[in-house]
Amino acid sequence: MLELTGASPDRMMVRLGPFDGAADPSPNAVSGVIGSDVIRVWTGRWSPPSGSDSCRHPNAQPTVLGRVMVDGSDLVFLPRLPFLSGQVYTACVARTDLDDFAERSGVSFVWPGHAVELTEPVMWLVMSMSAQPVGSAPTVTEVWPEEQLVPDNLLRLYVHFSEPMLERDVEQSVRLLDEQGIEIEDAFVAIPNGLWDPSSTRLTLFFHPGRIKRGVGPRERLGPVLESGRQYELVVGGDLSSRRGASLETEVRRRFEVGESDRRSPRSEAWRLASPDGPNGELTITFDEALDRAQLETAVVVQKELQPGVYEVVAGSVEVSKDARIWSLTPQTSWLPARYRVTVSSSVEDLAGNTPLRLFDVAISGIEAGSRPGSIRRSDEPQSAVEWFFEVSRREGGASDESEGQVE
Amino acid sequence: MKRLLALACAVAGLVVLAPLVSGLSSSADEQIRQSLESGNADPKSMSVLVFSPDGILFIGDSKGGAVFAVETKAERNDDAEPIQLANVEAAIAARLGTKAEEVMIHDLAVHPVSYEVYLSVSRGRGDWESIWQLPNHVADAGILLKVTHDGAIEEVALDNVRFARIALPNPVAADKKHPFMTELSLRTDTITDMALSGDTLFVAGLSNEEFASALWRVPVPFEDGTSATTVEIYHGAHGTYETHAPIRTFVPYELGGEQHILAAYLCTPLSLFKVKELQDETHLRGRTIAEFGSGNYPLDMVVVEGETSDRIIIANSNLPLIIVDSDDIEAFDGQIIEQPEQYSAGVEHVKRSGTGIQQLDLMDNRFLVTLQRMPNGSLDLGATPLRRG
Repeated sequence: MLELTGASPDRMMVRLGPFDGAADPSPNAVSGVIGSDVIRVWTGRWSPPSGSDSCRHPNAQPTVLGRVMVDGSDLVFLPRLPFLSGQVYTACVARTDLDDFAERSGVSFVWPGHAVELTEPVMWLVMSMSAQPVGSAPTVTEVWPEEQLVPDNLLRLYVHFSEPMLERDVEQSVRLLDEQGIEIEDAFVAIPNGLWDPSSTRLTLFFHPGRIKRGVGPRERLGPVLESGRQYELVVGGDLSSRRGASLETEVRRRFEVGESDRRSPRSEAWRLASPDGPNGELTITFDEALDRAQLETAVVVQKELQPGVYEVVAGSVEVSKDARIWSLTPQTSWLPARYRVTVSSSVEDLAGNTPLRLFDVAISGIEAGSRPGSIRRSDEPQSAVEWFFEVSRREGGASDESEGQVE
Repeated sequence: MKRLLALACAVAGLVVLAPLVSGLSSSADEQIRQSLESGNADPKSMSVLVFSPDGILFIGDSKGGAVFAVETKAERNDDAEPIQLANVEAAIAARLGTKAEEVMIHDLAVHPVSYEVYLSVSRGRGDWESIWQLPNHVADAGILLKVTHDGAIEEVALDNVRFARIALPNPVAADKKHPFMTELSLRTDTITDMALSGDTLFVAGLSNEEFASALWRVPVPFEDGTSATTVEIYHGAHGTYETHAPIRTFVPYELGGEQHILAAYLCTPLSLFKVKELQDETHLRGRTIAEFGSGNYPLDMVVVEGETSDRIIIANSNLPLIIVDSDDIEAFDGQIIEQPEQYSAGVEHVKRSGTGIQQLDLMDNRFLVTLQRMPNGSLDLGATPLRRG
């Protein structure tokens, strides 16, 4: 018999059987890609006529393009293009094809202790990709910022999905509603095919900057998108679908409140580093205000000094607190006795797009209190806004700060 | 078979002497070959396919705004009969694991050495719902297939091949939308057609200029110095000068000892441009010499050389094959600069049966290879012998 052991848009896994005893999933004599004709796959449902000894389609329909590989005890068919939902496929394995393969390659299908003996000359199965592809529907896992209260000049929202999504225009699918459920037109910048991260799991929504910056046309004409003291709801439509063709099914709503404008640069001199308190301890940085979480992923770099001036990035898992004010790193391997450097890029932005060095929006009428006159844009922006060093001592395995935060 | 006979009727009387002389000498082909490097060619959308005489495949990538030159593997097959295959879409669909109506063929090119038929294909037709679902308009052709002489459909792998890529200067931006089909990014029309002539690859399409319609001249082998000329023509059916609409299909053609571009536009003017006037960063107005009629989309164009004169064969979305004699083009020294009173005007032309032909190519001087939507809905790969005479 031919048993379907797994199916997803990018693969069909089958197992040959039955064997004497259970098939052992440990590595076998054959592995990797073994060509294309050991499993033959066709669209549609059909069965070989009885007495047939080869996989031959009654209407000579061509097979689906793909490759076959061996994975443990499974034969895996990898289609050239993903299997489609709603489409029926028939897979067929013939003893003659296995024999041909064995002859060609000099290896036979041997699971430990079991040479493959097909009980019948031809075995087939019919697989149907259900309208909702195998597995659960994709979900929205997070929306950043997570804080309920955001400034009225919030620059971006990030929507995270549980799996890679189909990149397409999102204007029709992603909407912003006010308290009355009335849609706010032109809230986000329209970007062809949406602005997705390389893994297609994070969608960035830019509030229209022309409606954030004071004194520019769109804001004068349409007003700001968000107004302090009001509530809004982001609606992500259920029609967004993943690359494997599964849609969200239900729309996702995320409500948030809007507070005062944030027209101050993050004050990097107020950021604090807490060095790890043990060989596997967390390194944490506390910021003076919520920062852009997506940017924090690359803005903070922890390096170990190998020799003076030569550094290696410390790998580990990074957590950012819900309020996006605390960044922490748990190292993959223990902190070793060495000097470590921690840097935070000067281009990291707060929720309103202000960096330690410049404001996103400067009032035409004058510079507001709390901003940094003359620092709207500097071509020679340094790489890092803050640089700290700390040393892990040999004796304790713990760490001690060598220096306070040094503000550029 | 009957269907093919019908097409044979359509082009009976076409006289052929020699293959279209628009390619490279084999030494030039050798030069291109030497300029290629091994790697993975990754065109984002294979909008247009053109072969050099020796089998270098040029792929116009609208979405990527670039042209690729890719070496192909082919066995010489001089005695080969042309490949014919009914319901190509169904055969491709079976290979791509889908239904025939989800297959779209964007371009066809006959390999000049093996005579296998190369097809750039997309599975799925994108989100765009329009009656004008025609190649080059929906979805990205992401897979290159060939039909072999035994009627099989195989993928032509583009990884680990010898290739070169050149970016077109200033292709139309992805966020520019079609003026009335607002779902449609103009980027799909970055490259609408290409043709090789001597050491120049001519590329028609849309640039990002105010007058968007463009003709690029790309040096072959690829090197710096691509020229970009924006072009416009008078379009009688619309009674206006077209600066945005791109050329849909064209051929380089010599007239009166001078190299020209003979270009067809939507709806359906035929115009001439002098190649020597295609200067970089200039704007050029062509001479409209015919109006074949509105409500039509010219899809493909080939030149069949004859003993005394040549025939230009144009395939159309809604009109039958249109055939223009080169003598008639030579003889026509006027131009259309106002709305014609009749449905068609200008250079003499004949209309022949052959509706639904979406793609044309020549197999040497012997056969006209076509993809034709038949009355039963099937898209058939066919070939019509071109008689010598």
